[in-house]
Amino acid sequence: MTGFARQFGIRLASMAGVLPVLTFVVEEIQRQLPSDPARVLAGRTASPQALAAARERLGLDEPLITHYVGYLGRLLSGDLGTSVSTRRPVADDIATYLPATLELVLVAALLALVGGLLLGVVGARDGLTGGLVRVVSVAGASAASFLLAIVLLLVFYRDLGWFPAGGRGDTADGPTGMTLLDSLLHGDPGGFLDAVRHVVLPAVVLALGPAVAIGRVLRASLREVMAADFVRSARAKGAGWWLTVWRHGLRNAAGPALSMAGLQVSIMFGGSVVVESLFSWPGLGRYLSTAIAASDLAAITGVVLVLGVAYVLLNFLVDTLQLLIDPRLRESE
Amino acid sequence: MSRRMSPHRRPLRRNLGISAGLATVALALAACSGGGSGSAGARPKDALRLAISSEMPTLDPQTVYQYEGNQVLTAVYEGLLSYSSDSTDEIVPMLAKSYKLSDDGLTYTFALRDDVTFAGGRAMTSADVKASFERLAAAGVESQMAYMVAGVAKYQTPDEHTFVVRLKAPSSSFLSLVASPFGPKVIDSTVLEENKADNALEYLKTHTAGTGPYQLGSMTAGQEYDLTRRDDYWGEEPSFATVTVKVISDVATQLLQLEGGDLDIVTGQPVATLQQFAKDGDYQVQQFPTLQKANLHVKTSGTLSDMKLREALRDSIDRKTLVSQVWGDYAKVSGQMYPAGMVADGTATDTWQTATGNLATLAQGKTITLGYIAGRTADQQASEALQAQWTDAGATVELVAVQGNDIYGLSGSLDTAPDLLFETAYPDSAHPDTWARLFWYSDLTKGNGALNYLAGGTPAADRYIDRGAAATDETVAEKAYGAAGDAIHNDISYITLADIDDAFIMSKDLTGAGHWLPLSVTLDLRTLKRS
Repeated sequence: MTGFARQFGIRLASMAGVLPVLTFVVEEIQRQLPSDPARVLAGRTASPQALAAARERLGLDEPLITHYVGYLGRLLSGDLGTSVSTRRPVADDIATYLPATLELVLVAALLALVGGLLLGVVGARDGLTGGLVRVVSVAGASAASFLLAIVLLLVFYRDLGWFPAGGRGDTADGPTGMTLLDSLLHGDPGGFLDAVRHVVLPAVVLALGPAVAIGRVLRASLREVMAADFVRSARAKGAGWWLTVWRHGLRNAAGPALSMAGLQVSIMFGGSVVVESLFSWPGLGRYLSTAIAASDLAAITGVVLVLGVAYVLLNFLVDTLQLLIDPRLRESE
Repeated sequence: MSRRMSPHRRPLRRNLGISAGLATVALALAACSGGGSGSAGARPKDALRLAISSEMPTLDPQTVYQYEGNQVLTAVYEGLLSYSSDSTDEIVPMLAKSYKLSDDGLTYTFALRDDVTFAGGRAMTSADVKASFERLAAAGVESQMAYMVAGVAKYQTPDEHTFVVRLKAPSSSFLSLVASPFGPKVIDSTVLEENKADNALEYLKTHTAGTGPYQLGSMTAGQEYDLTRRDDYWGEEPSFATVTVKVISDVATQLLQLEGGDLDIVTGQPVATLQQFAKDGDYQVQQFPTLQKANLHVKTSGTLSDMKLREALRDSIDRKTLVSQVWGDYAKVSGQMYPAGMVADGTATDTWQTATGNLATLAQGKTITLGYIAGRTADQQASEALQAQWTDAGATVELVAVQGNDIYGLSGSLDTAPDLLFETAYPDSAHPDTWARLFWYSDLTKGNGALNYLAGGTPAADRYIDRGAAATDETVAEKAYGAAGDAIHNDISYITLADIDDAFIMSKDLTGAGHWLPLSVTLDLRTLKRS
């Protein structure tokens, strides 16, 4: 486990380095923008006294470094500041909206991984099926998520009535805030199915692009592995194509696809902004888009931090998985 | 929490050739579900479903300062007075039966109704009204509407059904602010007392304690608010037993849900959509006048310091074409410096004969920047149309997208601010002070002119505005505000373009829609019925 410990240390150090840089950049951007968060908080008709109080409360009258050091100190105690648009602590807002986004991204990630695996494996095979999958991959990659969402809504909501147009349905009370999980924990199969119906369309829209990307990388990698001598030997001994893929191909070809999967799932958090808006999904993406429109910098900083942490953690997870799957990487460590 | 049953489903229209496996799974899910999906059949008789495009930060009527929150709040809370729901500027009684104003213009005495109860059954008294007015100004509440009662010297409650407000100085706009949709709403004082540690801010985020015809049944953060009709409401019982207000930020998704039968009313739709639905027999488009006005703020320093250039720019605007292009039939060409109907016809006029004149000569070698608020599609469209008109007239105009709240910082950094700023704005009430003081007041040091983004206006106009506010005689006030409008018109630091209407797409079976003039994207749920 030396390699694992070293990898863990590197990722922790990178996280420790990335997050302060992220927060500092966002703080500096706040200073450079002509917006006045105090005016947003105090209101368009605020008196000069109310404006001054709001400015002091937001720390806008402090020099950048003082304000930033104070911000980092508060951050360590879990205080992300106050949102000027919701007037609630940003940490509370994030706690409210993050479970919905996590649920959506997790389901979409699952769909993307399964879809990517299918596209990659089937596409790697010569013949009509493989060619068809490649065509579908190209078409899928070129479909804008907005367009895809509208098409799915028109077909599966308006015309067929199979899925709802938006929202998460009736949410169960805790403990995770993720409706699918909570309904299972509460032993509520009806609630679970309702939650599944609500998550399907947004998750499919969010997953399609990443599935195609993962599939393309896996296909290229798999074709390379399947042409290797040791695989040809295995096939010469009578092993079928599918069995060879399962026993030898996937294990050796999974590395690049896993890297791509980590990247794509990280990108999904950003993509959720559009998808959550289209499907009225009450998550962090919609919260972020509202915050950007309102120049709500505390909220933007908070979300950027969460996304930064998610990105670093996901990459760490992917690297660890690669270590577990590919013994060559462990040896090189 | 109860699960709603699905309304009627539409049979499959066509075979889409989707794989049998997917179809089986999806149909199984649909069969097991409770939520409505894509149903265009009969709509529930006693339930109304509408959409708002952004979530309310709280249900506290004294801290929500946005249009859309009022769709929920006006159904739950009430003030002493109200604007009439026939979309006129008439102020009508609500929780107060009547009021008297003293001769010196300082004391308002409100006679309260004696049959009003809060949700929960407790009778409303003057103590509740006093506590609510005082809370609006409480420092801990940080209400953005606190300015409305900033001029109050003291409150008195001589008996349970009389409420007296003593002002520090006469204010011709006070009554309009009491009646404003954003004005003081009456909250159950026992709730305020029980939660006084934080001024009930936390409690009122997720609970309601008002006198309105509805109360909050349940809410799901970021998704929807479910209102239930009160049996003990003092006024006429509203037709709908339940009202669901869904948070749907995307207008296309709202429209799909309307077509699918999951919504009864949508608003905020593009003009093309309104025109399309106006021709559709299954729907109706209802249009109401509002106080929303499209304007140009003009920076009188820098490139446009030359009055002749400002005049040439203004005169070359063809407002009729602009209105037609951007708002179609859902706006009118502006004729006055104030929102339509705010001051008497023929006063504070803002008209000109469209002519390109010598704009090309005056603007030669200059680049004029026109800002608009990013993300507002109609604003951008209007700005592009203006740019095209000015370009045709020989001027060079560049567009600048300004982020939403960045406009508040423009007056503090005029050097880098655009020369013109397009904005669609609205006042809090139909009184001219709520327009002139915010947008035109040039002396920004006393908290006035909060929305005078490009620091326009003149000291003379400021004096007229102050004179109008202090007037106890209505004629004097009107004359002063008219003169203020004329002064701003002559200075060309502000150009008005259009008075914009509200438009709602509704299912055709809805009747009796009421609308308040100062409150866009909101309907009076008391009068709405399904035929």
